[in-house]
Amino acid sequence: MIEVLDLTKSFGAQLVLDNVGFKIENGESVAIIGRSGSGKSVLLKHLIGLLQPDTGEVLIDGENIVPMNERQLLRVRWKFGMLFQSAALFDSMTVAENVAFWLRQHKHLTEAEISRRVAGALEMVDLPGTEDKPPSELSGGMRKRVGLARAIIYEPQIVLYDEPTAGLDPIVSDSIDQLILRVRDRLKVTTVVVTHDMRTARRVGSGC
Amino acid sequence: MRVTEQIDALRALATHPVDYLVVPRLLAAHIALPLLTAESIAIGILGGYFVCVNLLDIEPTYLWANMLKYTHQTDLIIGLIKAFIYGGVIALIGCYKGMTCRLGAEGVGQATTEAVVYSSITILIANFFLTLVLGKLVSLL
Repeated sequence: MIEVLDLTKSFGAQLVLDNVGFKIENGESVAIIGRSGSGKSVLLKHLIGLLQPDTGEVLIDGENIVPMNERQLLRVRWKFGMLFQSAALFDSMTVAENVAFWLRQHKHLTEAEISRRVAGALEMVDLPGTEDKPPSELSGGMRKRVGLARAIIYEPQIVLYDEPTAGLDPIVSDSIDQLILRVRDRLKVTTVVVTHDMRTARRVGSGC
Repeated sequence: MRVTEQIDALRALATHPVDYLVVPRLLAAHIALPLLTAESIAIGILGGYFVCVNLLDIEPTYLWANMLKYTHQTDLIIGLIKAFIYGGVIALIGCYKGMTCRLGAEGVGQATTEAVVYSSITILIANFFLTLVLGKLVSLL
Protein backbone atom coordinates (compact mmCIF):
# COMPACT_ATOMS: atom_id res chain seq x y z
CA MET A 1 0.00 0.00 0.00
CA ILE A 2 1.16 3.52 -0.83
CA GLU A 3 0.23 6.35 1.50
CA VAL A 4 1.27 9.97 1.01
CA LEU A 5 0.80 12.39 3.91
CA ASP A 6 1.04 16.20 3.66
CA LEU A 7 3.75 16.13 1.01
CA THR A 8 5.32 19.51 0.22
CA LYS A 9 8.09 20.13 -2.28
CA SER A 10 9.62 23.36 -3.58
CA PHE A 11 12.37 23.99 -6.11
CA GLY A 12 13.82 27.32 -5.00
CA ALA A 13 10.94 29.77 -4.67
CA GLN A 14 8.62 27.62 -6.80
CA LEU A 15 6.18 25.55 -4.75
CA VAL A 16 5.44 22.38 -6.75
CA LEU A 17 3.61 20.14 -4.26
CA ASP A 18 1.56 21.72 -1.48
CA ASN A 19 0.34 19.36 1.27
CA VAL A 20 -0.51 16.52 -1.09
CA GLY A 21 -2.05 13.44 0.46
CA PHE A 22 -3.62 10.21 -0.84
CA LYS A 23 -3.71 6.47 -0.32
CA ILE A 24 -3.43 3.69 -2.93
CA GLU A 25 -4.42 0.18 -1.91
CA ASN A 26 -2.63 -2.95 -3.14
CA GLY A 27 -3.76 -4.01 -6.60
CA GLU A 28 -5.44 -0.66 -7.25
CA SER A 29 -4.95 1.14 -10.56
CA VAL A 30 -4.72 4.91 -10.20
CA ALA A 31 -4.22 7.72 -12.70
CA ILE A 32 -2.80 11.03 -11.52
CA ILE A 33 -3.83 13.73 -13.96
CA GLY A 34 -2.88 17.36 -14.32
CA ARG A 35 -1.49 19.96 -16.70
CA SER A 36 2.08 19.82 -17.93
CA GLY A 37 4.41 21.27 -15.31
CA SER A 38 1.93 20.81 -12.46
CA GLY A 39 4.25 18.46 -10.55
CA LYS A 40 2.85 15.04 -11.47
CA SER A 41 6.24 13.55 -12.31
CA VAL A 42 7.73 15.13 -9.19
CA LEU A 43 5.03 13.44 -7.12
CA LEU A 44 5.69 10.09 -8.79
CA LYS A 45 9.43 10.36 -8.12
CA HIS A 46 8.70 10.93 -4.44
CA LEU A 47 6.85 7.59 -4.28
CA ILE A 48 10.03 5.69 -5.18
CA GLY A 49 12.41 7.97 -3.27
CA LEU A 50 14.09 9.54 -6.31
CA LEU A 51 13.28 12.95 -4.80
CA GLN A 52 13.16 13.99 -1.16
CA PRO A 53 10.22 16.14 0.01
CA ASP A 54 10.61 19.32 2.06
CA THR A 55 8.00 18.04 4.51
CA GLY A 56 5.56 15.15 4.64
CA GLU A 57 5.70 11.36 4.62
CA VAL A 58 5.61 8.63 1.99
CA LEU A 59 4.61 5.27 3.45
CA ILE A 60 5.25 2.11 1.44
CA ASP A 61 3.54 -0.86 3.11
CA GLY A 62 3.50 1.21 6.31
CA GLU A 63 7.21 2.10 6.17
CA ASN A 64 8.12 5.80 5.91
CA ILE A 65 10.76 6.10 3.18
CA VAL A 66 11.43 9.86 3.60
CA PRO A 67 14.12 9.58 6.30
CA MET A 68 15.87 6.70 4.52
CA ASN A 69 19.27 7.17 2.88
CA GLU A 70 20.04 6.02 -0.66
CA ARG A 71 21.27 2.56 0.42
CA GLN A 72 18.18 1.91 2.56
CA LEU A 73 15.98 3.03 -0.32
CA LEU A 74 17.50 0.42 -2.64
CA ARG A 75 15.76 -2.28 -0.60
CA VAL A 76 12.39 -0.50 -0.90
CA ARG A 77 12.85 -0.05 -4.66
CA TRP A 78 12.83 -3.82 -5.18
CA LYS A 79 9.05 -3.46 -4.81
CA PHE A 80 8.87 -0.93 -7.65
CA GLY A 81 9.12 -0.93 -11.40
CA MET A 82 9.16 2.42 -13.14
CA LEU A 83 8.61 3.46 -16.74
CA PHE A 84 10.17 6.87 -17.33
CA GLN A 85 8.78 9.55 -19.59
CA SER A 86 11.80 9.27 -21.91
CA ALA A 87 11.98 5.49 -21.30
CA ALA A 88 15.52 6.16 -19.94
CA LEU A 89 17.05 3.15 -21.68
CA PHE A 90 20.78 2.72 -21.16
CA ASP A 91 22.05 3.81 -24.56
CA SER A 92 25.31 1.87 -24.30
CA MET A 93 23.41 -1.42 -24.01
CA THR A 94 21.26 -3.48 -26.34
CA VAL A 95 17.56 -4.09 -25.71
CA ALA A 96 18.31 -7.47 -24.09
CA GLU A 97 21.01 -5.99 -21.85
CA ASN A 98 18.64 -3.22 -20.79
CA VAL A 99 15.84 -5.65 -19.97
CA ALA A 100 18.20 -8.04 -18.17
CA PHE A 101 19.85 -5.27 -16.14
CA TRP A 102 18.03 -5.92 -12.84
CA LEU A 103 18.52 -9.68 -13.08
CA ARG A 104 22.27 -9.30 -13.70
CA GLN A 105 22.65 -6.84 -10.83
CA HIS A 106 20.60 -8.63 -8.20
CA LYS A 107 20.16 -12.29 -9.12
CA HIS A 108 22.65 -15.03 -9.81
CA LEU A 109 21.02 -16.65 -12.82
CA THR A 110 22.52 -18.56 -15.72
CA GLU A 111 22.73 -16.82 -19.10
CA ALA A 112 20.15 -19.30 -20.45
CA GLU A 113 17.70 -18.39 -17.67
CA ILE A 114 18.30 -14.66 -18.20
CA SER A 115 17.72 -15.04 -21.95
CA ARG A 116 14.51 -16.97 -21.32
CA ARG A 117 13.17 -14.31 -18.95
CA VAL A 118 14.20 -11.46 -21.27
CA ALA A 119 12.40 -13.16 -24.17
CA GLY A 120 9.32 -13.60 -21.95
CA ALA A 121 9.30 -9.94 -20.91
CA LEU A 122 9.73 -8.76 -24.51
CA GLU A 123 6.96 -11.14 -25.58
CA MET A 124 4.65 -9.56 -22.99
CA VAL A 125 5.28 -6.08 -24.42
CA ASP A 126 4.84 -7.32 -28.02
CA LEU A 127 8.48 -6.86 -29.00
CA PRO A 128 9.80 -10.40 -29.56
CA GLY A 129 13.06 -10.74 -31.48
CA THR A 130 14.39 -7.25 -30.72
CA GLU A 131 16.98 -8.43 -28.21
CA ASP A 132 20.06 -7.35 -30.19
CA LYS A 133 18.87 -3.90 -31.28
CA PRO A 134 20.44 -0.79 -29.76
CA PRO A 135 17.97 1.74 -28.25
CA SER A 136 18.93 4.28 -30.95
CA GLU A 137 17.23 2.07 -33.57
CA LEU A 138 13.90 1.98 -31.73
CA SER A 139 10.88 4.25 -32.25
CA GLY A 140 9.33 6.19 -29.34
CA GLY A 141 6.65 3.56 -28.76
CA MET A 142 9.16 0.71 -28.91
CA ARG A 143 11.43 2.46 -26.42
CA LYS A 144 8.52 2.75 -23.99
CA ARG A 145 7.77 -0.94 -24.43
CA VAL A 146 11.38 -1.91 -23.75
CA GLY A 147 11.37 0.41 -20.71
CA LEU A 148 8.27 -1.39 -19.48
CA ALA A 149 9.81 -4.83 -20.10
CA ARG A 150 12.84 -3.71 -18.04
CA ALA A 151 10.52 -2.53 -15.26
CA ILE A 152 8.42 -5.71 -15.02
CA ILE A 153 10.98 -8.47 -15.61
CA TYR A 154 11.48 -8.90 -11.87
CA GLU A 155 7.73 -8.85 -11.20
CA PRO A 156 7.53 -5.88 -8.83
CA GLN A 157 4.51 -5.23 -6.61
CA ILE A 158 4.02 -1.67 -7.85
CA VAL A 159 4.54 -0.25 -11.35
CA LEU A 160 4.85 3.52 -11.83
CA TYR A 161 4.27 5.04 -15.26
CA ASP A 162 5.51 8.58 -15.93
CA GLU A 163 3.60 9.97 -18.93
CA PRO A 164 3.54 6.60 -20.75
CA THR A 165 1.83 7.98 -23.85
CA ALA A 166 3.49 11.41 -24.10
CA GLY A 167 4.77 12.12 -27.60
CA LEU A 168 3.10 9.07 -29.15
CA ASP A 169 0.43 9.02 -31.85
CA PRO A 170 -3.11 7.90 -30.84
CA ILE A 171 -2.73 4.37 -32.24
CA VAL A 172 0.53 3.70 -30.40
CA SER A 173 -0.92 5.41 -27.30
CA ASP A 174 -3.84 2.99 -27.39
CA SER A 175 -1.50 0.01 -27.62
CA ILE A 176 0.52 1.29 -24.64
CA ASP A 177 -2.73 1.68 -22.67
CA GLN A 178 -3.65 -1.92 -23.51
CA LEU A 179 -0.18 -2.98 -22.41
CA ILE A 180 -0.57 -1.23 -19.04
CA LEU A 181 -3.85 -3.07 -18.49
CA ARG A 182 -2.30 -6.37 -19.59
CA VAL A 183 0.61 -5.97 -17.15
CA ARG A 184 -1.80 -5.02 -14.37
CA ASP A 185 -4.05 -8.02 -14.97
CA ARG A 186 -1.32 -10.62 -15.55
CA LEU A 187 1.07 -9.59 -12.78
CA LYS A 188 -1.61 -8.30 -10.35
CA VAL A 189 0.45 -5.18 -9.68
CA THR A 190 -0.52 -1.87 -8.12
CA THR A 191 -0.49 0.63 -10.98
CA VAL A 192 0.13 4.37 -10.71
CA VAL A 193 -0.02 6.29 -13.98
CA VAL A 194 0.87 9.96 -14.28
CA THR A 195 -0.61 11.46 -17.44
CA HIS A 196 -2.20 14.49 -19.01
CA ASP A 197 -3.89 12.26 -21.61
CA MET A 198 -7.52 11.91 -20.47
CA ARG A 199 -8.11 8.83 -22.63
CA THR A 200 -5.25 7.03 -20.91
CA ALA A 201 -6.49 8.19 -17.49
CA ARG A 202 -10.00 6.88 -18.19
CA ARG A 203 -8.74 3.55 -19.46
CA VAL A 204 -6.16 2.63 -16.85
CA GLY A 205 -7.41 4.43 -13.77
CA SER A 206 -9.89 2.89 -11.38
CA GLY A 207 -9.54 6.16 -9.40
CA CYS A 208 -8.20 9.63 -10.38
CA MET B 1 23.19 9.86 -18.45
CA ARG B 2 21.69 12.35 -16.04
CA VAL B 3 20.10 14.36 -18.86
CA THR B 4 18.22 11.34 -20.23
CA GLU B 5 17.10 10.14 -16.77
CA GLN B 6 19.42 7.12 -17.00
CA ILE B 7 20.84 7.77 -13.51
CA ASP B 8 17.30 7.90 -12.10
CA ALA B 9 16.59 4.66 -13.99
CA LEU B 10 19.63 3.05 -12.32
CA ARG B 11 18.33 4.14 -8.92
CA ALA B 12 14.82 2.91 -9.73
CA LEU B 13 16.35 -0.47 -10.62
CA ALA B 14 17.73 -0.62 -7.05
CA THR B 15 21.32 0.04 -8.15
CA HIS B 16 23.44 2.64 -6.38
CA PRO B 17 24.86 5.02 -9.03
CA VAL B 18 28.11 5.45 -7.08
CA ASP B 19 28.68 1.67 -7.00
CA TYR B 20 27.80 1.22 -10.66
CA LEU B 21 29.23 4.37 -12.26
CA VAL B 22 31.81 6.00 -9.99
CA VAL B 23 33.69 3.12 -8.36
CA PRO B 24 34.67 1.35 -11.63
CA ARG B 25 35.81 4.65 -13.18
CA LEU B 26 37.81 5.56 -10.09
CA LEU B 27 39.57 2.18 -10.07
CA ALA B 28 40.15 2.32 -13.82
CA ALA B 29 41.69 5.79 -13.59
CA HIS B 30 43.89 4.76 -10.64
CA ILE B 31 45.23 1.87 -12.73
CA ALA B 32 45.34 3.51 -16.14
CA LEU B 33 47.05 6.81 -15.27
CA PRO B 34 50.26 5.22 -13.83
CA LEU B 35 50.39 2.86 -16.84
CA LEU B 36 49.98 5.79 -19.25
CA THR B 37 52.62 7.72 -17.34
CA ALA B 38 55.03 4.78 -17.50
CA GLU B 39 54.40 4.56 -21.23
CA SER B 40 54.97 8.32 -21.61
CA ILE B 41 58.24 8.10 -19.70
CA ALA B 42 59.45 5.24 -21.90
CA ILE B 43 58.47 7.03 -25.11
CA GLY B 44 60.04 10.26 -23.82
CA ILE B 45 63.35 8.50 -23.19
CA LEU B 46 63.25 6.77 -26.57
CA GLY B 47 62.33 10.03 -28.32
CA GLY B 48 65.13 11.88 -26.56
CA TYR B 49 67.56 9.13 -27.53
CA PHE B 50 66.45 9.28 -31.17
CA VAL B 51 66.77 13.07 -31.41
CA CYS B 52 70.11 13.23 -29.62
CA VAL B 53 71.74 10.37 -31.49
CA ASN B 54 70.31 10.92 -34.98
CA LEU B 55 69.81 14.67 -35.18
CA LEU B 56 72.32 16.14 -32.73
CA ASP B 57 75.11 13.56 -33.29
CA ILE B 58 75.59 12.86 -29.57
CA GLU B 59 77.48 9.69 -28.76
CA PRO B 60 74.93 6.99 -27.64
CA THR B 61 77.11 5.69 -24.83
CA TYR B 62 77.67 9.20 -23.49
CA LEU B 63 73.93 9.93 -23.72
CA TRP B 64 72.92 6.72 -21.97
CA ALA B 65 75.48 7.14 -19.20
CA ASN B 66 74.14 10.63 -18.46
CA MET B 67 70.58 9.42 -18.67
CA LEU B 68 71.29 6.85 -15.93
CA LYS B 69 73.33 9.35 -13.94
CA TYR B 70 70.66 12.07 -13.77
CA THR B 71 67.47 9.99 -13.80
CA HIS B 72 66.96 8.53 -10.36
CA GLN B 73 64.72 5.64 -9.43
CA THR B 74 62.93 7.93 -6.96
CA ASP B 75 61.98 10.30 -9.82
CA LEU B 76 60.14 7.47 -11.51
CA ILE B 77 58.46 6.33 -8.30
CA ILE B 78 57.31 9.87 -7.45
CA GLY B 79 55.98 10.28 -11.00
CA LEU B 80 53.97 7.09 -10.78
CA ILE B 81 52.59 7.93 -7.31
CA LYS B 82 51.51 11.33 -8.61
CA ALA B 83 49.85 9.70 -11.63
CA PHE B 84 47.95 7.35 -9.31
CA ILE B 85 46.62 10.31 -7.30
CA TYR B 86 45.85 12.43 -10.37
CA GLY B 87 43.88 9.53 -11.81
CA GLY B 88 41.62 9.66 -8.75
CA VAL B 89 41.31 13.45 -9.03
CA ILE B 90 40.28 13.26 -12.70
CA ALA B 91 37.80 10.42 -12.14
CA LEU B 92 36.14 12.00 -9.09
CA ILE B 93 35.81 15.47 -10.61
CA GLY B 94 34.59 14.02 -13.94
CA CYS B 95 31.98 11.82 -12.23
CA TYR B 96 30.84 14.60 -9.92
CA LYS B 97 30.39 17.05 -12.79
CA GLY B 98 28.65 14.40 -14.90
CA MET B 99 26.21 13.42 -12.17
CA THR B 100 25.32 16.98 -11.22
CA CYS B 101 25.20 18.59 -14.66
CA ARG B 102 22.22 20.74 -15.63
CA LEU B 103 19.75 19.39 -18.14
CA GLY B 104 20.11 20.09 -21.87
CA ALA B 105 22.98 20.18 -24.33
CA GLU B 106 24.33 23.40 -22.81
CA GLY B 107 24.47 21.80 -19.36
CA VAL B 108 26.41 18.80 -20.70
CA GLY B 109 28.90 21.05 -22.55
CA GLN B 110 29.40 23.22 -19.51
CA ALA B 111 29.86 20.23 -17.20
CA THR B 112 32.47 18.76 -19.58
CA THR B 113 34.40 22.04 -19.75
CA GLU B 114 34.23 22.51 -15.99
CA ALA B 115 35.43 18.95 -15.39
CA VAL B 116 38.53 19.59 -17.54
CA VAL B 117 39.24 23.02 -16.02
CA TYR B 118 38.71 21.94 -12.40
CA SER B 119 40.79 18.77 -12.91
CA SER B 120 43.64 20.80 -14.44
CA ILE B 121 43.61 23.40 -11.64
CA THR B 122 43.34 20.75 -8.92
CA ILE B 123 46.25 18.81 -10.42
CA LEU B 124 48.30 22.02 -10.66
CA ILE B 125 47.71 22.80 -6.98
CA ALA B 126 48.06 19.17 -5.86
CA ASN B 127 51.33 18.91 -7.78
CA PHE B 128 52.90 21.63 -5.62
CA PHE B 129 52.00 19.90 -2.36
CA LEU B 130 52.76 16.39 -3.64
CA THR B 131 56.19 17.46 -4.88
CA LEU B 132 56.85 19.04 -1.49
CA VAL B 133 55.64 16.06 0.55
CA LEU B 134 57.01 13.27 -1.65
CA GLY B 135 60.34 15.07 -2.01
CA LYS B 136 60.65 15.29 1.81
CA LEU B 137 59.65 11.63 2.20
CA VAL B 138 62.18 10.49 -0.38
CA SER B 139 64.96 12.52 1.22
CA LEU B 140 64.20 10.79 4.55
CA LEU B 141 64.57 7.30 3.01
